[in-house]
Amino acid sequence: MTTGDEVILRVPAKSDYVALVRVVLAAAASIDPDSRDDRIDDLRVAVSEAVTNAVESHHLNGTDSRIEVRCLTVNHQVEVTVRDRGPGFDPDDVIEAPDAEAPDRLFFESGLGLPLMRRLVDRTDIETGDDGTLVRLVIDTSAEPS
Amino acid sequence: MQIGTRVTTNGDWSITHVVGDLDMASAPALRATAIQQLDDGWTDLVLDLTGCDFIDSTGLGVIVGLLRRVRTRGGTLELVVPLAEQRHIFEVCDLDRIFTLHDRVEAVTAGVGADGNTT
Repeated sequence: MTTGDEVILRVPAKSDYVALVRVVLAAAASIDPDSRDDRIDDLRVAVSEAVTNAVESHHLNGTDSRIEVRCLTVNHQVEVTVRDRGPGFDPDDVIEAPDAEAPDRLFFESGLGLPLMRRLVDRTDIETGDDGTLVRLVIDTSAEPS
Repeated sequence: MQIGTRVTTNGDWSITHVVGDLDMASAPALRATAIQQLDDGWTDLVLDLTGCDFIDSTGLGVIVGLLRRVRTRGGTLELVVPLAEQRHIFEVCDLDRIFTLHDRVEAVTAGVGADGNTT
């Protein structure tokens, strides 16, 4: 396939656009004939998590800026970046859901997004500050899941 | 993206069939539908995700919250998740340790009767 193909989306920070982003990015990543369906599925979920967080972040500070999503495909490697203009966050302050069998597990309806991203793709980087957050997801769509 | 829900009953079970993507846009509708079943007096619920094309952590959160509400009422929540990609997400989040993931609705309702009544 052509190397260095890039798709760029700028979408409103509205929940209805999360599905649009993951459909477009999954389609773009699937152009590689060697891509595996299960890896594309993993990417779809990870992208959905990142864009969901971005939408929620924009709701926090009320910005009407667009969320920018870039998908760069080089050989079998797909790199997705999701840039928001929300207030940022401290990754160390994120409370992850407790163990599945912990007595209080059912009180955690959130806290699965970041762990899901980290488990589903090969690499997850987060840069966050007062001017927003950049999430970078990298996955080899031709490789067996680790 | 809108989600479609259809509720049927079979014996003591209220079964919510989900069609579409379950994400931040659609999860509130599923939550409202399921809570309505509890408010109507049903305590044994089935979520049938056979027609669910996609689920992420927002959808999982709604299901976890629903289980808490059901248990508070002394009821049961069973999940029908036949698709491998959806099962995978439950497994990655260790939620297969909380829920039994059934292949078919009949695996839950067996012995109750074959003909469901649409509400």
